[in-house]
This record gives sequence, C-alpha cells and structure tokens, in this order.
Amino acid sequence: MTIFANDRELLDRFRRGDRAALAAVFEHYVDQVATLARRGFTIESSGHVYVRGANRDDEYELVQETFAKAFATQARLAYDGLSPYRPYLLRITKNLMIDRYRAQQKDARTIAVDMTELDALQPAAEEPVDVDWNRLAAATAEYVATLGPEARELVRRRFEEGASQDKIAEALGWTRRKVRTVEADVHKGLRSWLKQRGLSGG
Amino acid sequence: MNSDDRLTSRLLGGRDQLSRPEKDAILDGVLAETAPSARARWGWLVLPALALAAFLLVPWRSIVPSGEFTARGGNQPAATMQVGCASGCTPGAKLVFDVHGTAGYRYFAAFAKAGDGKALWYFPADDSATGVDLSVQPATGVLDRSVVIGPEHAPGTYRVYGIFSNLPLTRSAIRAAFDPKTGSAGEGTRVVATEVVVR
Repeated sequence: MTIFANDRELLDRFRRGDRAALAAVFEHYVDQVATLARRGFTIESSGHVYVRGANRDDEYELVQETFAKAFATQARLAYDGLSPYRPYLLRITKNLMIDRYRAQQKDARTIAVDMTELDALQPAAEEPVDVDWNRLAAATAEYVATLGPEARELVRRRFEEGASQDKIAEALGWTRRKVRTVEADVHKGLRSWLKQRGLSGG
Repeated sequence: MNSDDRLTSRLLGGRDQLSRPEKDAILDGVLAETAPSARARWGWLVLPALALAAFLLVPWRSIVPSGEFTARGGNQPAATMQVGCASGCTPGAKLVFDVHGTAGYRYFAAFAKAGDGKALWYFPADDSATGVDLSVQPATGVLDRSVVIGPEHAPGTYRVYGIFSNLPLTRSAIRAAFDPKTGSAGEGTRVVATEVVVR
C-alpha cells in the first residue's frame, strides 16, 4: 500500500515540500530503492540484458539521485497521491541504472523497455557478494571489542540498530556534539585498524 | 559522507547494505536540494536573550556597518520574511522577524498597515534612522530585535511589509518610493508582505 493511502495530510505536506513529510516518505521507501540499486535486474525483452547492481558508492549515488528526482518540486506536485508510489520511485532508479549501463557499454545493445515492463522488472534475487567482506567484518568485530563502553554503546545503537544521532543523544543523555564526536572517532579508529592490518575497502 | 565512511558504517552495522549514517547523509543531501530552506525554528522565540526585549523596539547591540557583506548562497538576490509571535500575537507578545534565506540584500525595513490604512513602523526605529543592517545579524536569520505588541496594535489583521534593500533607507525614502503593487521601493529593493493577526 502506498504511504499516502488514506493520509491526505501527509500528501499535502509532501507536495508542499515539508521536510518531515519528505523524510517520512524517504524512510518508507529507501531500503527498497537501495536493494534494487545494489542487486540490479535483468531485462529479458532486450536479449537478457543484466543491468548489474551498483557498488557501494554507486548505490549511494543512485539512491540519492532517485529521491532528488522524486522530491523535486514539479515531481511532487505532479504526483496524484493515488498511483502506487513505490513503482514510480523504482522506475526512476531503473531508468538511472539503464542510462549508466548504456554509458558503460561500448557496444551496448539497444534497450527498449516500455513502462509496463519497466515496472515489472524485479531486483535480482541474490545480494552481491564482496569477497573481502568477511575478512573486513572479522577485523571490525575485533576492533569493536577493543572499544570502551561508550563507543560500543554508540556502535550498537547507531550502526546496528540504526538510531538517529538525536535519539541516541536523548537516550544516553549526551549532547548531539558528543554523539557526532564519538561516531567520528569510531570511524577513524576503524579505518586505522583496517589499514594497520593491510585491509581496505577497495 | 566519503567512501571510507560508507564502508566503515556498513562494517560497524554488520551488513553490506545502506547504513543509518548513509541514509541520514543521503536524506540531508536530498532535502538540501529539493525542499525549501528550513526556516529558523520558532523555538528561538523563547531564547533567554529575547526576554531582554524592552517595550517597543530594542536594539540589542550596536549596529556597525560592515563592508564585508556578501550575499549568502547563490548569485540571485532573494528576500524572505516570516513574522510571528510564539503563542499568538496579543498585547505584550513579541513580534519576531525571521529573514532566513535572504541573500543579496543588506538592509531590512518593515512596517505594518492596519485595516484603516494607518502605518506602524517597526524598522527603522525612528525617522532619522535607517533599516536593520543584515550583515551583522545572527546567522539564524531571526533578527536580534523584536517588537512588543503594544496599545498601538488594535486587534485586527495587519499587513506587514518587509523592504529589503542594498542601501540604507530612511522611513521617508521608503515612503517616497514604496509601491505595494509592484512589490518595490525603488531600484535595488524588494518588498515582501505577509499578514499578522493581533488578537
């Protein structure tokens, strides 16, 4: 069910560009957009063209670009509030990925996809596999075990549970600045830890 | 968010999927690009500093013209104004001006017109003064001087005009050039209007 179903107030605020409404829509759909970007999809009608899923950086950019297009003023105002929003968002992502695919293929086959077929395209079933991930994850676990209780609590809430910095500050009685500082220190420490072990994200 | 932080965020979360910090950074970027600028929160109205405002117009610090003023963001001049009171505009309430998002104009003047056409001047404070120098105002956009709703504000709806200009203008200069129909008070100015209801 689209997030706007039976919620005229949210639709009105979304159209007005209310930041809280945009954030709610973003939260509702971001994982689905990211999954599509990460896994890619196959277009059978164009000769089994596999539009490969994006790497981490491209996934980030695709998600940002998708929502930037969907949340642009004209797009918001043009949305009727009745059509399912998820296919609309994923259509944007698919088109962005097809554009990138075309740009990367020197001898690109022609991809002709109408809207109906585009909407029907599903993300690939499997998550992409990063062969380095397990080694990096193991080293990360070792790193986290070295952290003090405050930093470990932040890792749990912020990264594992996905809490906002504001929520963490409120829950732990910290200032927002302290949350940011501890978070930045954890990032920095992990980068250094991985580097010392000859590991990087490559 | 850089590429290294994206990786470490995912590693710390234990999943090679979009992490919370990544989502936060993406949303920030999207909102910055697509949503109207966040207005200064009206919570500023309760700042202790505002409690120092005296009866009518209260300059809180000396206004020192700065030669270093530059437009904030973008090349196009922009003028925005929000006017309101924390809990409704009633006698004794403070009328606060928020010009966050304004760029390319250095001075700000404001007055209100009541239903009977009578003008109530807010800035400049008197006939010999000029408008507020925005270059020395807080970055929040909320002016560091407010107006206390006094007996001159009979209950009713007021149209509040904000005059943004490149040059310091006196009341008489604004009166001479002000044209609400064209939204101008002369070359290099922009007039923005809004309504305030005094109860």
